[in-house]
Amino acid sequence: MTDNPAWDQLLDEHRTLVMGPLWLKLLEDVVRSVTPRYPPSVYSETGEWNQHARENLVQDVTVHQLLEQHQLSYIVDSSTSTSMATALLHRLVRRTLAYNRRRTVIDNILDRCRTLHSFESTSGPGPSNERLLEAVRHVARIPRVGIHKEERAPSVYTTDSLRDILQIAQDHLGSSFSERDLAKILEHVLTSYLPSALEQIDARTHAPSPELGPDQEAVVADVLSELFSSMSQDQRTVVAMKLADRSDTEVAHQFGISRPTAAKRFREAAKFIETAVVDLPTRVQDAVLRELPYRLEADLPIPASNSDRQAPTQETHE
Amino acid sequence: MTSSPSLPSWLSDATAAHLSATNADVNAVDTADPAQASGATYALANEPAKGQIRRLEPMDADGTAARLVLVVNADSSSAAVQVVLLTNESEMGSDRDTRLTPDLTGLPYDVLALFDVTAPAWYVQLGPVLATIDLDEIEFLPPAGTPVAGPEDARWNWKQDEHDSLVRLSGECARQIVDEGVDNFVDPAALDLEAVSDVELALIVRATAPLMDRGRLCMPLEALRKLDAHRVDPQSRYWESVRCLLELVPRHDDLVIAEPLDRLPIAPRAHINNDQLVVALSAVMEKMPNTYRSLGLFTLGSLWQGETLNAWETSAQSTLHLKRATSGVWEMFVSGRRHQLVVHAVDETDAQTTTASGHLKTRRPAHA
Repeated sequence: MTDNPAWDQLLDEHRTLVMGPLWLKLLEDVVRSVTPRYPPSVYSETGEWNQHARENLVQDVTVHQLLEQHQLSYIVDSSTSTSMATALLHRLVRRTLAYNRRRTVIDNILDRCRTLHSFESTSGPGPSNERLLEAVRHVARIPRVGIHKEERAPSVYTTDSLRDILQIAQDHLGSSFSERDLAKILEHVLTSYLPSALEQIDARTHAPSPELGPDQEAVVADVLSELFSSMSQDQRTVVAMKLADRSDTEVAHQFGISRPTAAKRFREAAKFIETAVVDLPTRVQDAVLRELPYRLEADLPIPASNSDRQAPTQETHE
Repeated sequence: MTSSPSLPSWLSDATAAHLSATNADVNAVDTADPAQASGATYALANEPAKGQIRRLEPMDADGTAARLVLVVNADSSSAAVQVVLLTNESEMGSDRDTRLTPDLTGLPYDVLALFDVTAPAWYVQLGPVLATIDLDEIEFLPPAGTPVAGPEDARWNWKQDEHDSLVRLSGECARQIVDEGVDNFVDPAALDLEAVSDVELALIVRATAPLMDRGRLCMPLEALRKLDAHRVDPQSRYWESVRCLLELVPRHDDLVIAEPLDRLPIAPRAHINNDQLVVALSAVMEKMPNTYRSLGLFTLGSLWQGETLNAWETSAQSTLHLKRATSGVWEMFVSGRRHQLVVHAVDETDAQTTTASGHLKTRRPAHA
């Protein structure tokens, strides 16, 4: 027994029924709370979040996650209160939504692969983990195309790239590799299409420039990655604030410095970015600069209230 | 038995299929639950050890979420464990992580062990033992996924969040260990030659002198007065260790405390739950920095009556919020904050760790 009667009732129900009305009610509440944040055109089978769509999701989470994958046992083992269990249910519902979408991504790629390659029927033990992971390492280097907002299932690869992937699978797994083997490779490679990535994509109004080819997309990704890792945390925060149209006064307040120093810091950071992109083709430069604000979202501090926006008159830590 | 008047048929079918598939014994008594097992059984099952999968709880009820962890090291002398974070989001695995499957753990679900997300934690933070695995066995398991490509890989931020959640749980322990401040006290009675023998005196001195030399142990002034007044026979073979301790005192006079332990009656004690020494230590805990949550007490088992030092049951007349966590470790709530008291009975040997009655006794600390 704990000192939390509501939690005790949930534990008792789990011991006796595995999952009963109390857990079901908790899950229904969580689904009602989570779904409005997800575009129904992308995440709901019916295209809207009505009672029927929510019930489908509740059943999906219950049967496949809480019971088949024993995630209810995990939640009970990990939690010490109803609020902790609720938080884990929230996370599970979000993962289920994202996972269903990811399945669609891989299914579509496999559909396209079937038009390019005749798969052998599945039989025998299949390739070893080592050979599979070796193929995964090579496929991971194949460039991907950008994802567009509201796209139910991103295409991810061009047709030429798909041919390359099939060739890699053949080279590493032999000519008789199965569709299931290819699906395993894609599940490993497309891990980055999992929950947080999809949620971030949905939160944007931006899509990578469609006119860029896969090679240029790869350059954009490399430059952004290099920029992100070589800039200091302070530099990223300054740039993020300026790109979000925050005033020098706000930047000054954030760092406890004077307004002119804030402006100087931004100029230094801008020069740093300019140096990184100056030698790139104009189209790639534009793509990097368009993408940068979204990469820096996490570094953007919460706006201070008006009363807090007075910049200090003296430098506190320069 | 919970009634299920409004259970939809799809859920009844799904739970029936689930029970049938897992053959779950839902009425089994969980011996790791102190409410359903005897104190001695719980203490034995609860002793932290390498390879255990347990729940790690926050020191204070501040809304921080508990998490499952894998214990990779346990140090009974400091009552601290080193843990690796576990998660159920096994699809997020990278080449640094290992997937622990049900056939390995005996748990019904997969967990991912994040071997690059690790931290120390206090014994009192550990929940029941859910499973135990052989750490050598998992060393050769294949990686759980491909390397994280960089900040643009969704797993980059995810792992940072996982690291942050473990830091929130382990912050107090990590800071106290890094600080290496004064977090040990010696029982004044253990230095009183009227209460202890020469042999016992030598044991306590050998255990505590190195700690005092490193600035990690406080010495009650009253205890030193007693030691000085009675003097040990210089011909005694124990004289050398006592002399060492007395020579340390002038060099570490900041560690000799006049308050609050000097007012305590130096006499054998009735029960740890009501003991005035422990009351005094709770006052010390109250004054410690917020990040200091573990206090070591060096004493002699012979100073405590019977098995009171190791008894599971708490006294009804207890004025302290004291609860036995495991062998030699007590959980105390002082001013609403959780602390742990680690009792080192230096005259106990490893051979005596379990008595005939099954009660665990305090292990001899590594310093002894």
